[in-house]
Amino acid sequence: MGAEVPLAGCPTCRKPVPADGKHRPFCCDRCRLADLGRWFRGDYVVSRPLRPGEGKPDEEE
Amino acid sequence: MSDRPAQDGYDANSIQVLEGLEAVRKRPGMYIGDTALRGLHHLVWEIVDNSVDEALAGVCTEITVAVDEENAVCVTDNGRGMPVGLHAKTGKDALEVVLTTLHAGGKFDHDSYKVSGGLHGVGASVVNALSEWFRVEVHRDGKSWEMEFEKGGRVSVPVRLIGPSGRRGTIVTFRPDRTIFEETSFHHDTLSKRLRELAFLNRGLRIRLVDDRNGADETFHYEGGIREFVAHLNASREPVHPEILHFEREVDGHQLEIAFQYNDGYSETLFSFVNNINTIEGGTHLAGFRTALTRTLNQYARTRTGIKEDELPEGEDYREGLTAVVAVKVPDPKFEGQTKTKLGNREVQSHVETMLGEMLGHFLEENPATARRILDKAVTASRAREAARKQRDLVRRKGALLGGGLPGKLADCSSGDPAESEVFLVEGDSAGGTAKQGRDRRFQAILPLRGKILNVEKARLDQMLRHEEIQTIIQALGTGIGDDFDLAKLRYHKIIVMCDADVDGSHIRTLLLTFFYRQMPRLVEGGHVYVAQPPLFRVRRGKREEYIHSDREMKEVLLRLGAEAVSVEDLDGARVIAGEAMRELLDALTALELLAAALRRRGVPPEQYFAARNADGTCPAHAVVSAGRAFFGATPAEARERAEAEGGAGLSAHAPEVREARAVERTAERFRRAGFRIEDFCPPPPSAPGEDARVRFRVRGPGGEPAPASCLQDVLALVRAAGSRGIDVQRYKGLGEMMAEQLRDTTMDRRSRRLLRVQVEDVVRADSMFSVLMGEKVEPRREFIERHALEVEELDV
Repeated sequence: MGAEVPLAGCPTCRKPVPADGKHRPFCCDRCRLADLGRWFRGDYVVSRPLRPGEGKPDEEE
Repeated sequence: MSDRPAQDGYDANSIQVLEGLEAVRKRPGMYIGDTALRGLHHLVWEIVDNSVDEALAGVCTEITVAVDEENAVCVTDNGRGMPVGLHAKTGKDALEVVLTTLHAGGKFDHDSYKVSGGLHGVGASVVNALSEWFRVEVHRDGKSWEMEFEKGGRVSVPVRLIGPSGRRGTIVTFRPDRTIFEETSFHHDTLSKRLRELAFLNRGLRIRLVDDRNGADETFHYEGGIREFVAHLNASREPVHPEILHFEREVDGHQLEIAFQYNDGYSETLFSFVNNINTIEGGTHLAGFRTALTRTLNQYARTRTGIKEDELPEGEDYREGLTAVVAVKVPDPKFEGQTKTKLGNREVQSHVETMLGEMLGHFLEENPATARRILDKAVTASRAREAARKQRDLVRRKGALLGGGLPGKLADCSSGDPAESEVFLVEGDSAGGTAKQGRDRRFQAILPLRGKILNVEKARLDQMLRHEEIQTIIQALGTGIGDDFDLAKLRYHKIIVMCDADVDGSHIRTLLLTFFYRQMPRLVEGGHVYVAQPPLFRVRRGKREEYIHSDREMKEVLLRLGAEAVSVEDLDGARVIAGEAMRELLDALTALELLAAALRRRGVPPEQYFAARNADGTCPAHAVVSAGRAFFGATPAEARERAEAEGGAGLSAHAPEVREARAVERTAERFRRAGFRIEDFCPPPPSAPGEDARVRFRVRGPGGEPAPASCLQDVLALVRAAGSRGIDVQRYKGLGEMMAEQLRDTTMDRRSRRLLRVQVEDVVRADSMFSVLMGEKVEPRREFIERHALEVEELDV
């Protein structure tokens, strides 16, 4: 995939981050913690509609 | 100049006075704190505060502080002027009494000043006592007087009338005593900072600082008062909401004023003042501010937002990024604390709480957008605080269970050498079970992860890494996280993400890689993260068995097998293509097929695009697409022009770049060399309606009739069909469908597997895709997923 890769800076606050920053890819530890909090809380969800045939509870892995 | 006692009629009183000033000289620390820089500047503040008091009383609008090259300070105001005239009690001039008697000012008399700013009210006499010389000039009642002292308050020039005066005010000039102060050079920045502060705190008051030593001449004047103070403090920061909140009220002779604004930083900048005194230790006014701020914002959050009770921010969350100034003027302040800079008056707290509660509550109701931004900021802060706590717990628990702290789900390997150990992060318990059977338990550990969650109500399949999974991963890897991260403690030098080779698998892989990239970037930079490559197909022909890892590869295999078995007759060229020529043609066809698919994804019909090639073989770089018709041009403008001319008005003005142009040109050149044109790829338009397309090719396979084809696209399909004849293809929908040995041989065994080492660029890409997948705007996300569905499926990360 040779698609354009938007380098968006700090994933939390979008400020530019130096490549060798201590808290890379975040600008600071506080922004990293904000992200870690989202992982812990299960805020990051990739979701798609169920396909036909899916949806029986016993199919859950 | 001498003491001149006889001349001035010194009596017992005056000796007492001198003794008073002498006490100041003996123990200056008691009066001005110290004899270092702080005490030195204190002298200026004492004089300036007298002028500010005049401003507070509403009778002074301008103060000028001038420092000359000798570090003598001159403070000029346009207030009422110090009192001059006979002081009944002492029989001396009032001016002399004020400047030679401790606590002789008008500050302790509420009739003269409602509120007073004098730091400790020690007054001008203390400054006089600690000066080499001290001169005062008073302008009032149309006249001017002067008086001078030297060597700590001895009168050198008694009060005397200078003459008529057209102005009003007091001019005090003094030079600090070098035998008392360790340092007598004023700091410009200290003066400037405090004078600016005073100008903020006393709205409308004009304060000028002239410093002969560096030529500086600054005027501080703020009609906006502490609102402008907050703007000044936030000047180099990014505000979270546009307006500065500013509230003020007068209750029972207390003037209360609060201004604040949130910025996107994490620290708090807060100044509190009582009667212009910077209350470094805070006190009741500040306590009232904090309590009301938290209570009022949470009250709003409860009633006007969906924030859950257990997620309500706490006081410290509301301090992040807060820039605030709390200024109160209190008639009878009581100071407490180490440095006497903590306000103790109880009633101030309730006044501030009531005021802010009402006024901020009202503001939030009227400004929901700002309310939302402030709450978002605080909720984020509270979440980060929570995350930090969990992170600490994680590390602490690991330490407590040293050695035995491995998660129960982890099937560890027996080797204790990280360099030769690897851990497979496997999606799904069933695939985890297969992997456990297929592994080499000496070197390979298995950590099954549960990523899929069926959301029956919403009819969606959610994928996420839950808290337990994250925790399990961190514990299994052994490195810790955040500031505690230590790569040397990594328990496996290869961390292998093994997911199904479908869209769901790619999603969970994106989640995992994004997590590593964000929270443990050194793992990726150190080349420790890998992606397993399970096969998508198993192809069996006779006894030959082959595993295929992608759709693309599958097509290649079928084509290769087909090419071995067939030949193509080109009726136009009257030639038969087979062997090496056949292989070359099929290569070119495969490439063109991918390009055609890419064009279709853009909405560009390939046959129209191929036909639009220029005479010199170049391809147009831009296309306007509408209702199945495409209009091309070298530039967006040209494409649009053509669309207007040929397709009529109302077409989309969007003319995106056709990125495949160069590749199509190159492929066309391959076709030309093989004696074909890329137009031959697509079916020719029927020569008459209803008529079948003309047969141009015949594909001959082993046995059976030769199959007719009208275009090369059909030829390709026929060759593939020939290739798939006599072979058995099994498609794996997931890792769980494989037998343990198959998983071992194809994906896990070091001798036969394929692994992709994840590069930083891959994860940056995964992260950006992740950001889109996580994005809040549903529409672009849907588009993105549709547009990249194929790529996601074949993404090599």
